[in-house]
Amino acid sequence: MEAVLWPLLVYFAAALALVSAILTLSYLLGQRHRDAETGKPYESGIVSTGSARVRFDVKFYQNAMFFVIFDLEAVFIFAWALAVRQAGWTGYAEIVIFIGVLGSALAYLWRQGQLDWGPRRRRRLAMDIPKENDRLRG
Amino acid sequence: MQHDALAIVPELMLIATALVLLLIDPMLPPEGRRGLSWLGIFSCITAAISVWLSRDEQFTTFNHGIALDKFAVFFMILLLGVAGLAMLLSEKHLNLRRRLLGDYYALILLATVGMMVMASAIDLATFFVGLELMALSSYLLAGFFRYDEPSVEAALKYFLTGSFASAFLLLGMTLLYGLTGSTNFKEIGDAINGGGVAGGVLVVAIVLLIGGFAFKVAAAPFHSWAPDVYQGAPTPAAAFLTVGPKIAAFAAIIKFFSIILAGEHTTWVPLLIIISLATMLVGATLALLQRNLKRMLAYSSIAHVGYLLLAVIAGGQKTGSFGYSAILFYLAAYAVMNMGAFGVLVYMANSAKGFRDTLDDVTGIGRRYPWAAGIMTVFMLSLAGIPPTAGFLAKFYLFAAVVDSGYAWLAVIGVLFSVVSAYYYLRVIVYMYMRESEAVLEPTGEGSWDLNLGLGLAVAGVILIGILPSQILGAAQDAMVKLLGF
Repeated sequence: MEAVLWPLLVYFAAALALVSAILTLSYLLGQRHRDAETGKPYESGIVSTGSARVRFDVKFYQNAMFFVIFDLEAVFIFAWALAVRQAGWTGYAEIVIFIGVLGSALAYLWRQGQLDWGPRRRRRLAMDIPKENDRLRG
Repeated sequence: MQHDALAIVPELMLIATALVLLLIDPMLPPEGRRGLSWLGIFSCITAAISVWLSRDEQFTTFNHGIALDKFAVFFMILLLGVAGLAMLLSEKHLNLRRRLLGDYYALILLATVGMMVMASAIDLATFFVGLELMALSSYLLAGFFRYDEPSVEAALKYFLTGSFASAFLLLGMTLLYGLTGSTNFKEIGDAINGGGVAGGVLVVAIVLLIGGFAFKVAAAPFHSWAPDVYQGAPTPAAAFLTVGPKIAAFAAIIKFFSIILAGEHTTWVPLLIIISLATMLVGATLALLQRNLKRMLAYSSIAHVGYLLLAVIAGGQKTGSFGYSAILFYLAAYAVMNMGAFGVLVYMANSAKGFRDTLDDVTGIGRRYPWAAGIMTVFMLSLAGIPPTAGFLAKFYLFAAVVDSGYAWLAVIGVLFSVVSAYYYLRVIVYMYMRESEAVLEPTGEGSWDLNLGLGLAVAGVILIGILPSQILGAAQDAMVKLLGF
């Protein structure tokens, strides 16, 4: 079957024309300001404070990553749950192994202190100190 | 289904051990971690035994994703031996650097699982999963001394170049799939041999695959990461990284070129000739300039890759030649001698204060560390290819296969480069025995019988393979017959 595509093209051209017309008109007719406040980001009328170049703790990144990893793995469990009867005991054994691997990953993170939000505890890496660098250069 | 799981019992054992290592490590006090390497070594031995028990099996499983045959068995046992040896070499070194963690052994085991999957895969998707498991673990191993700047730099360089290589391989494999509509090696090979495949795109796919593999095995012009990585990585990890990933990559190269692309050898043989000549040239000449022994061994491993690529050419050029089985034998010999040479560097770094792996540091150690120097001499002679060591026979079979395939001139060039390379291997022996150094490194008195055992096994391997090669050579030939026969 030959699909009729020209209405789509007309629609696309019309959208493009409308948007460029609006932008051109507002560029030609609108006012211009060049004040100190003009460049500031608009945040619901609240005056912004401080610099945007703040260093965030790497923990935010780590936590986001852990979340994404475990969240993604949950997808596989959902897929198994939908077919639980068809998969039978073999499927059950496999999902138990899968969850076991996930659980050991979680336990590893926990013991490493990666889940602590407070000041870093570093229980296990007590022997792993930056002074090593000087020693190696010895 | 049960059959599937049985086929990967060795891999499952290694994965289970890796998980156990990760879990019990944080619960142990620092001194309790010294036994962890033995847990890893034990799992390697058990896995090797279970591979050995299935040596006469011949079947495909996981929906034709994995083939368990003599070829896979040969590579699996070789890789498990390499992993076990790497763990023997590591324990004391990590302990002295206060980085003795179960993670290290877990990473070695996981990398080994990836390599074993690469060696047994006959499906593009399965192969790629194994490749990535190996690669990701290797990057972490290179950066294991994370407060040591060279080590971190090595990890980053390895990661960036390795990702590029994986992307090249993946794109090449995608094109193969697009051309033939199958991810199975055999089916792709049949489709290509049957004709009707767009020639231009196939050439692009071949070039991408060769580029990717050249990156992975550090062949010129894609070799520039190797010296930095092998020098910066912790020495025992470097011993593993110079050998393990190369063995697995050559297993994959043999499978790709002998099963998928056998009919297209007129396309890839000229390319490989250029690459192998460039690789031997770069490896042999730049190694002459190095005073750091780890860097010298890195360039020497590049030169060895050049010789191995010659054998790939021989195998592809003449069907039924022993080019491919010469590669298998060469890899076994290369594994023991190269890991042994790195092992001696580990030994010296453990026993002498301020040892920095340079020629100046080994000057005159023949008298002060007679055992280490003697063992190093064996490995250097073997790497140079001097009888009665493993290196000699490996080179002999390899160049014989190249001559047999009709490329006598390539073999001559290879032997000439091998003569050049003898200079930098023998120079180490000269420095160790025939020169005296003013600055004597203070001994630390730190010995380790794990490391001594590992070095002893490597020496025994080099000499045994050199004197009694028939077992391994027979296994290598058997492996290739079975691989190309099914």
